Amino acid sequence: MWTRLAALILKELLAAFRDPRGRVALIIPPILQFFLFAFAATLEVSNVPIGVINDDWGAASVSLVSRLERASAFSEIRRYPSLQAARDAIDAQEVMVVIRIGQDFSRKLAAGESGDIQILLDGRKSNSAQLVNNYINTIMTQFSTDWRLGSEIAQPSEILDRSWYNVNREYRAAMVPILIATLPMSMVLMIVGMSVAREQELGTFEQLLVSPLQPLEIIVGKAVPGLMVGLAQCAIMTLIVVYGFGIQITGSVLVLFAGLTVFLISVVGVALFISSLVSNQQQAMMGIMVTMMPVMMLSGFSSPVQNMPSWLQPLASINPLTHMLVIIRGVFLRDMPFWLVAQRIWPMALVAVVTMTTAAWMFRRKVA
Amino acid sequence: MTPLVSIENVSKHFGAPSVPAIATLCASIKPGQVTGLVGPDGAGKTTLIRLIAALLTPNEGRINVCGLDTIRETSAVHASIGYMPQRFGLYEDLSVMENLVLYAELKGIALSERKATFDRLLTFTDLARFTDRLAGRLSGGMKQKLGLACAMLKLPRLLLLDEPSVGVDPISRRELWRMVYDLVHEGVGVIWSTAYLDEAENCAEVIVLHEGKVLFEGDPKALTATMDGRVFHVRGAGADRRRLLASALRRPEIIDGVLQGEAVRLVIAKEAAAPTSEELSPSQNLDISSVAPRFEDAFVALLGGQPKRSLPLDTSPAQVSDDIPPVKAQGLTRRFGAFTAADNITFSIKRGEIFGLLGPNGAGKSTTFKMMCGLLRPSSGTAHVDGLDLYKSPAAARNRLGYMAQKFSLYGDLSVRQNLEFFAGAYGLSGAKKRAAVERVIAAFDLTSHLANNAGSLPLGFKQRLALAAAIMHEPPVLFLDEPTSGVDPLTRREFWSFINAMVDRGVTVMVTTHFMEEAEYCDRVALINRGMCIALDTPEALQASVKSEALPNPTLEDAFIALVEAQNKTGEKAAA
Repeated sequence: MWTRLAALILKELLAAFRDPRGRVALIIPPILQFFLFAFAATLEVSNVPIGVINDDWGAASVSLVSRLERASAFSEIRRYPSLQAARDAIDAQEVMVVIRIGQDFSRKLAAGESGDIQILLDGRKSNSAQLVNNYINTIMTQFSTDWRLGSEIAQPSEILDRSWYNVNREYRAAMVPILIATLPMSMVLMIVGMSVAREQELGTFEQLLVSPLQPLEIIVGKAVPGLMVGLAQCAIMTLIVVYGFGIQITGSVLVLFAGLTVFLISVVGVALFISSLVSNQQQAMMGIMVTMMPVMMLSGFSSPVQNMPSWLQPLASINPLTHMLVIIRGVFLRDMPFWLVAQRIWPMALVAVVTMTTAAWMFRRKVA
Repeated sequence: MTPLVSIENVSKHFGAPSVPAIATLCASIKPGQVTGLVGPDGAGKTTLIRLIAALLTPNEGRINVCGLDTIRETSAVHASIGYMPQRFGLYEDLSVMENLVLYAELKGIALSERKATFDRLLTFTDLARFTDRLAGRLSGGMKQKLGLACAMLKLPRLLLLDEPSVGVDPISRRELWRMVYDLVHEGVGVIWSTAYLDEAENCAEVIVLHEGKVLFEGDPKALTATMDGRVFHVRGAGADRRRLLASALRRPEIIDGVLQGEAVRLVIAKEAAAPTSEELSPSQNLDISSVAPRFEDAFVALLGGQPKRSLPLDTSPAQVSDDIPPVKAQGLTRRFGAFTAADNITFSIKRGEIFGLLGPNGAGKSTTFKMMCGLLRPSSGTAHVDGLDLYKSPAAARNRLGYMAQKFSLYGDLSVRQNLEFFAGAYGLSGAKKRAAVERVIAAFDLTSHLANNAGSLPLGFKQRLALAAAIMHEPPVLFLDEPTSGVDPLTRREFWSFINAMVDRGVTVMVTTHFMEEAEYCDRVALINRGMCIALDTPEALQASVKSEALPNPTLEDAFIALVEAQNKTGEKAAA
């Protein structure tokens, strides 16, 4: 049995790496994707212009505008004479936020009352505009605090916020390590999901079926090379994250890779299950695409699982990627203890067992 | 008479000019007759057809089709020809009628003409009953007929058919030929390309291509006639006939030899003396008679005969346990829903026998074969290989059989050695045993020169050897072959069967499925499968004799096949009525 398995695994690895084009296809695209995702898929907003309509021209308003000018998030402050001019600028997407300072802003502040500020946002860019709005709010709060300091009025309590685990709230530190799971996942889905279909098209699958190889041996023979390639990719990506991006692993590397191994086994299981359903490479491709999108969306990759409607949340909890992302974020940003990681590992192991068994059963039926 | 197509000094190469697909070729094709374009795979048939169809531009020379130049008047050429490529672009998810309508749209046939055209073509191809059936569900023969119908929507002056008979059973093949003759009577010129040499005899003229060059152009009967008196049947060697053939081929005056059922067919060199019984086998009293030559004899003679070499195939005897038949099917039945694809099929094969499974497309031949290989579980009945039930102890039974699929199905991206090592491992060989097995087949099949090459890039003959080598790595006592030499040139085919014959000599049992009569002739016994039932099981000669009549004094195996199948179809229809 071991001889047959070893032969199968060696064959799969040779098939993947012997062809120079195959080698390139396994190594270059994931790394390219890695850098694209790391640099392009950012949610941070910086270097945007904002607009100002200042109807006041009092000392307070000038001081506020100069404060905005100094904020590093904004590249420039564009001044508009009228509401209509500002509207045109937003329509033309020159700015996404316009601040309008009311006529009596300075007078009211001087009188100890609160001044009126209107913020106009471009709803078409709801996310970015919201972020800019947050920045402006922060500046406004500081401005009014400082203004009051100048006056003799008693100071209201101040809020000091501190982000644990990601002290500087660096977007990259939270997002980039996730690629260690998502990119090898898509690669393994492809390699394993297509390989059976390709053999069926070539006619070599029949050749395997008439040999003494058992369905379970074929399953393992397909799974192990996929797992090996996947883990190798995970290792390369981890090195890039740590040494290329300077994002440190706070927790244990061992724990991280224990999680990744179980995760990849469950991905291989899903891929084998897909390939046991299809009869050619085109169908396999469809199956992989149809699986990949929901797995990504339901994983908390871009929006937190807690924000999803309650009927969707069970789906997210049987999604291996959901658990893997928790582990990755945990191990990178805080020293996630193993007992917490283990709580995330067993659901993935369950998915692996169920999909593998089903796939083996399907292959057995194919023979019969 | 002006030729329909004239080809002047045409050369075409796809890579380096030193390896031309077509090399300085001249030929002319007459209207109103079938011209055969005959040659083995890779001879340049498809390239030449595509050049004539103005789909390729020659590197040198010019081609004139119906008075039009293929380089300058491309679209006019397209308008006056019909072209059916090897795999006609039928849309398998569309019905027969939808395919016709689609091609009518593409060819710009006016709505008012369509009904008449469709009726004519559907009657002509006998597809009228199947207009609603999806093209993907048609049999191989019916697909080709539909392809032909689509190619003939506008009655062309020249019809180009690229290997229309591949994957088509003998009955459908005859129908295709009948249809083509009907077209010729309407004045259409037809070019029919084929790797099956027996089809050359149906053509008024043939162009024999080999490695991009014309070997012969003219009346095939004239070429065959040059072999008169040089072809002999040797009978009476009995079980020794394979050894007799091998030793006869070592004689210098014998240029070609094949097995035909009980007889050994030998071809002698020009002006050589007829073989005598003493020369061939002093110990036996052989009956030697002169027989009518076939086109294939002439073709092999043109190529200089069968290469004189004998490969050192290991002659150690295979394990013998003679009380059990090595292959046994007992009441094999397979139902797909209400349809019975194989109905109570029973046969058993003796040790050292070549057994053929023959039958038209969709008759249940492949179903039976798959059940015997362990690829398809029978609904009832049992399949035994070397005494082991394929479905009760599958792994052990599969270890006793070697399987070679119809199309080349090894790993094209792996080298020859890697393929061999993989299959050795898959059959559980390891360490010294594995090395010994790999070295043994490398020596036996003379693969040393290609060990590091990718299997996918091998020449056809080597691919065949490699596939066979991989299949027998574990020294199985039983070998299953699925149309092993269909479309292969006669020399490669002879070489392949010489390997098989040597193995059979050692007691290996072989089961072949085929609808290719030249392969069937290598069999000791054949089972004819039709409508899911085994309708005849006997030696090829006995089958031929069984259909002998006044109308058919000398039936070929193909005649026997057709007569038996049609007879059963008639009784089947009567029973149904």
